[in-house]
Amino acid sequence: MTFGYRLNARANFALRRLLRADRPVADRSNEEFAAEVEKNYRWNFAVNMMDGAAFWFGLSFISPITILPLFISKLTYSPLPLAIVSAVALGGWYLPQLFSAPYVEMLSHKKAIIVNLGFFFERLPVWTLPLAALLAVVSLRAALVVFLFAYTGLAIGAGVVATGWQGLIARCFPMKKRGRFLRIIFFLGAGTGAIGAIFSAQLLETLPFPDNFAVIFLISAVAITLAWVFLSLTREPLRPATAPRRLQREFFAALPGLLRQDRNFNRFLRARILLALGNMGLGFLTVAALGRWDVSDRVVGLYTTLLLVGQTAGNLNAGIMADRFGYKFSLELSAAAGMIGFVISWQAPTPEWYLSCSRYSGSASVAWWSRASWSYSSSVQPTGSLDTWAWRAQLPT
Amino acid sequence: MNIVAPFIGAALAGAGYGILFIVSAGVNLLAYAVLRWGVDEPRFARNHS
Repeated sequence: MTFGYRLNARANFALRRLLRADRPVADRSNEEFAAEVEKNYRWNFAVNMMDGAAFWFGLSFISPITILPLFISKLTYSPLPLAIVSAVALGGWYLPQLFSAPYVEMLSHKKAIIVNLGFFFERLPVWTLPLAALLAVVSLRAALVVFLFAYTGLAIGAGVVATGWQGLIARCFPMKKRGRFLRIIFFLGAGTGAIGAIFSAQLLETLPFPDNFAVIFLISAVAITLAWVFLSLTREPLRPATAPRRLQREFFAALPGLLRQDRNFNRFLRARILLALGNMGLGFLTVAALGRWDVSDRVVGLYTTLLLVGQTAGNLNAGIMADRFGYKFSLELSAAAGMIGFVISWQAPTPEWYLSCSRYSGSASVAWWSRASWSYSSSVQPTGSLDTWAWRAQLPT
Repeated sequence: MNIVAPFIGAALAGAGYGILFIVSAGVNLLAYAVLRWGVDEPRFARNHS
């Protein structure tokens, strides 16, 4: 037996233990499952709400649209790291799901994915960010490299466990109550995030560089770890996974047929590609403002506040609009808001214009898009299954 | 596309942020047009439910 084989076997064993893949789950009827969901509904609602509030609070200190571009601008003049952070922030969430979804569907314990695996892949990398900031005292280049590695690890890790979280939410909250839960969690999360952003604006102004970034990254790490504690308290209603193993190549082989067969879905995916492409300027808004008006760090901190206020309003509006006019209408509003936001950013005569209008429009665009896409996708998977071809086909776009 | 888009953004930013923002606005307008006149929600939901 070679060393490589033994290492692989040990890694496989450790992964199976983390995911509780070998722990059997008793089969139960739909009624028994529904009764357990109902019994734990209030508890799960409370702990997941606290998870969302703490997580969004933590995320507001590492916003990839405002705070992180400001941090990078202190380390380098090159636009490439900005593009990397922007690409990782968006793609890191979606792309790993494409590959992890079929494996997640085969696992009975969804909570083990997000809590056990997520601790190492998603939560631990956040603690590297304050160290990266402190490294700036010694070497700006080293700080940038460590920061980029840490942030990439964090974003990809979040994407790897994302389907596990969605599976857990689908189990804990029945379809009829899921929309309400998501609306509240997004609203509350954006609210706590806005409070965090006000706090980060003050810290950015009062503390010298790089201590200010080290402190706000540390607060982010503490909050995101606290969110993990709340998430781990979730009482998952268990049932055995019955999904058959489906190979990646089966999915890719089926994709052209799916797109040819349904031209409407084909056009929907094209629209999603355009919406993703339309966000190409999002990661450069802060740097453009710094270049044009040399705005202070505190103002950049305030950008995050407005961004989150925009997201809160956007999420609420999207829910109301989607209920009344359909999810497609929410997506149309998202595209329109994105267009208005970028036109204002292009023509803004003063930082105030840029600050209020473009931030609101840009953030509303992101919020509408993400929420509408989630809901739109949910509408095509009423059973809460994550691995429909249609759902997975959207992930690469 | 989420991964590719920021790098296209970086390339356009080299030519000027104004160009980047107006191209971004144009792409959003195109997305709006495809959604508004190209996608039919009820038919999409029915085919994939």
